Amino acid sequence: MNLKMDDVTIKIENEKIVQNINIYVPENKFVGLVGLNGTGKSTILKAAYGINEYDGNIFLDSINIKKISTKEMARKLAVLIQENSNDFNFKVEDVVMLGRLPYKKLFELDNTEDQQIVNSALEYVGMLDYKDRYFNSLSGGEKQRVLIARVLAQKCSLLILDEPTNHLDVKNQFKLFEIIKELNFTVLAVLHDLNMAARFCDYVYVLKEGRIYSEGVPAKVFNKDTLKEVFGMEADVRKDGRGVCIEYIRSV
Amino acid sequence: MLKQSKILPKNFIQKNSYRIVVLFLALSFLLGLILLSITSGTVSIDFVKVMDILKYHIGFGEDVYWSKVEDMVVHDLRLPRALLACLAGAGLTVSGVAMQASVKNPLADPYILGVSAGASAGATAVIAADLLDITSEYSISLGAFGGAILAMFFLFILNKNNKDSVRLLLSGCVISILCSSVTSIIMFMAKDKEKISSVVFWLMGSVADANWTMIPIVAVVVVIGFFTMVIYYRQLNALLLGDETAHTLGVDINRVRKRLVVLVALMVGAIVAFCGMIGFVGFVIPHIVRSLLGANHKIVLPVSAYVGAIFLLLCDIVAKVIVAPEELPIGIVTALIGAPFFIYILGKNKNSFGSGK
Repeated sequence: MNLKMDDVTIKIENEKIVQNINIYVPENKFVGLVGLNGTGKSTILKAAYGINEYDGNIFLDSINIKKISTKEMARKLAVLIQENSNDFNFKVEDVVMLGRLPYKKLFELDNTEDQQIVNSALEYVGMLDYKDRYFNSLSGGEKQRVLIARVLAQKCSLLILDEPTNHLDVKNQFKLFEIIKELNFTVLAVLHDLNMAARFCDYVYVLKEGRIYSEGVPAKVFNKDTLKEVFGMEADVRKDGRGVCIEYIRSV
Repeated sequence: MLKQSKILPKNFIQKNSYRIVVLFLALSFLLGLILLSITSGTVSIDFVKVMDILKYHIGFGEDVYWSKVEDMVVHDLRLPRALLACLAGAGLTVSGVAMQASVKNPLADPYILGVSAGASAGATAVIAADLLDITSEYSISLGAFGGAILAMFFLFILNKNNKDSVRLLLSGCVISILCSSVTSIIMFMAKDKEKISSVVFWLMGSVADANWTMIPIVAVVVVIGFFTMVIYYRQLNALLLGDETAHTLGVDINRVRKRLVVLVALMVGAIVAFCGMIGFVGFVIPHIVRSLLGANHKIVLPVSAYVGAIFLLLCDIVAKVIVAPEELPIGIVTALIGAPFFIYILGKNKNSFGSGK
């Protein structure tokens, strides 16, 4: 499963938020989208998962997504975003079972196959014992794992992430990306933490003022000039055995 | 319709024996409460006689030893009244569940669409402004239902291209306010004080005028509404997670929301047309059910319908009995019984309501 955004321009109330966006996410690769706040990163993602209108074309495995129904999209593409609904309380099992929604018809009950998929998804993320706990009573990291289990239950190979680790501590941030890489998804992720992007991304697109500023592997994209120009930071960039490491010095 | 693999009947009963027992007990309790409702009231008819009258109407027993009045009281007044209480209770509660899911807000109630305000305006127009011939049996209900339809019409016009649940809420508020003003204007201009008090009384809600013509109408609307929502339980669950998340799970949020609005408008319209504005039920019962059982609509919808039916039935019994031989309007009873109970539930749930177990 691969994702291709072809010359995408998004306008909100006739103002161009992003323009001429060309992004290619090859199969099984982790592609990052970085940039300052307000540059349109989330807007681009929302076009990819069908919320925003756009000019241009977006292809999922060479099929134009305008031709794919919402339900069919949900079988190909899973999304992890930050939408908090703390007023309503679901059991962990019910949250994961929602991942099966794209596969169920209106009159269909949940069957043993669904139950097995939910159970093995929870087992994979180590949350099977929490099946009957209420979601809102879990810690941030535990919630994240349950959401990953939901993505697993959705049985998609393409994952879109919108700053999924904002509210997590360092350990859980790492755990999230480690699991995702382990599962070998095709990923398009918006990330704030450039070191995380440098560490986990196979390819990065840098967004500045609504346009792609640069793209490439982390080693190429994260350099002193880009960090100054785009992110307003003076920084040292070191390359070691583990990859690229950005050390921030001061803001510009 | 059941796509389960190889369920033998015996296995099914074994695995679900707990659920079957609970279901049996629940239904028995409901039936018991209905019987209690039928035996209570100003005309005292003993329990055995009531059972015999009911049995006779179903088709058993031939020995008619009761008077025509007793027969009429049991079969034409009290039985439909009990049934109407159940249906209205279930319908209002389920509408509350649907509205709270639809706008993702636990503060929503079935009246937020403004449909009930429209119904009230219509009823007031009939009672106090002679819109229709008030001596005709169904003129008030017709006026109310007409007002409800008009309000629903305006709701759809205002939300023609709307994709936002907050705007839906706000437009419902606007319609409510508009219709309330119309009601107030009519009441202000009515010279006859008796008409005004009739309106006020109607607005407080009552199931006392139940008859066998309205029961099928309300029953059809409530049953269709309920079962449709149950079929959509996954979509309702997804809506609670947020519009975007629901969309990424394959839910056509606009279509689902529109259907919910239509169902609720019809249910509430029918119930208010025949029963007036019975408050509290549609707002509080869903909360109570959710605080005990979580938000999964697969469970919340049927349980809410049941609890709503039981609750309104109980309130009606109290309404009949507590100031006998007079009757309290049922809207007063629902608030008087419901509010303290709700406070108790709030107190038990020390954490923020509905979360953090």
